[in-house]
Amino acid sequence: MVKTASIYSPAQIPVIGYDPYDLKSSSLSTACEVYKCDSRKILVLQLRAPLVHKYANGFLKNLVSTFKEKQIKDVIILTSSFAHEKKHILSSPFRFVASEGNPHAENLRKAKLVAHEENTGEVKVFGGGFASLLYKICLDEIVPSMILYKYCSEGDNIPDAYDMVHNLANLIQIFSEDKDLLSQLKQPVSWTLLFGRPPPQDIY
Amino acid sequence: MGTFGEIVEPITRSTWEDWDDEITDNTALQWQWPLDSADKIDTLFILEGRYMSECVKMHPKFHLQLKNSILDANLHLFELPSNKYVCTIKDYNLLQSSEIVELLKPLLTKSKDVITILTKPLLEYQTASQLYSPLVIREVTTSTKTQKLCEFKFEKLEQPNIVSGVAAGVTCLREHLELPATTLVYYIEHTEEYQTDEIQQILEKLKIIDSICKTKVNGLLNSNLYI
Repeated sequence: MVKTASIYSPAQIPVIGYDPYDLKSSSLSTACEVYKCDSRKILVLQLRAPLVHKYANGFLKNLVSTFKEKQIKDVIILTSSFAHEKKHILSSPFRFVASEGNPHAENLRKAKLVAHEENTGEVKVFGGGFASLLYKICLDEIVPSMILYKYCSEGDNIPDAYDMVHNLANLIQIFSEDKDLLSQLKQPVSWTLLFGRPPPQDIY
Repeated sequence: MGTFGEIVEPITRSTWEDWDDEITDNTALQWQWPLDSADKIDTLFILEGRYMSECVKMHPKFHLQLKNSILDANLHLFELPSNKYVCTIKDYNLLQSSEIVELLKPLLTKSKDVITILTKPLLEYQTASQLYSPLVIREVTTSTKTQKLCEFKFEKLEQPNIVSGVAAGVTCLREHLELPATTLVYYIEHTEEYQTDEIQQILEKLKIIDSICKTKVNGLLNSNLYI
């Protein structure tokens, strides 16, 4: 995937650093960036910081109208939910919510993913941040959309990330089938220091 | 580098807004007076953190003229001679960072150069190196490089270290405007004490302060430690 754009908006908590996938890079990475893959016709919007609630609605509406303008066929929202919200402990930790006219219905059935349960009439993914709001805006704007989420605990979420990619790959073709899935993934450098620096030598 | 025995866990969602609850949006921030500045600004310095704000406050302000403030964000804007501005900010709400950047936008768009300096606790500096240093200085710059700091040689901020808040927002906005900006991060052990000469040296070289101040504030008075 190639980075094609960086988005600035007051709706984001500002974050900057250098490219997390290339240690030698001197190009700035920001809170919201767009990556694209021409061969698969996929656009990835990566948000590295939470949205500010006050401005989120306007930002997401703007985003969805840009998607429509650019004729993006459907939107898949990836998020997580609090592990303690999972009611059926023996079931898969993945859930999905899909709008009508979603092009992935057949693949969802084949992947045997469990549908999100909702009694309130409004989609709520606890701990999922703005995912529900973005989904609602997509519904209002009649953009086919889907939320795929996993119940996750706090701590090391690297296995959850791999799990999510694996499940996503069952729904849409994002990786080459000739090669092993894991060999095609690139870890960001932050994963190497998830629990901080090595202990100081002075203590020994 | 943590204190021995300290458990460093990944930052949780606790600092974010709880989207599952009703969120009452904070009232809007605003300048104390209508923002009035020169049409063209040579350099805008943004000094973030308690140490920086106090450091400027402690020096005689013959050449620093208070222009405006955003009181709810502890932000003060000063004017320096030769068309330069200094903005100090401390103890603000991280969620209001982008709002503060929007308020600074009129200055950011007409400044030739923007330099932000902030202090962070050394604990937050991520590196695989086992070498210890009580002070680490790192730099983040936009694609368009600033000329002001050419004489200094700072190492670039290594991944996965990041900068967040007003300094990050300012640099990010300048990057999008294709204008130069530099953020200097000073990772120091004690972010509120006054013995970090390296910070005062750069403030002196940038002519924000007149001289290096040796005054130490009694940390005990500001602490929660009672004897």
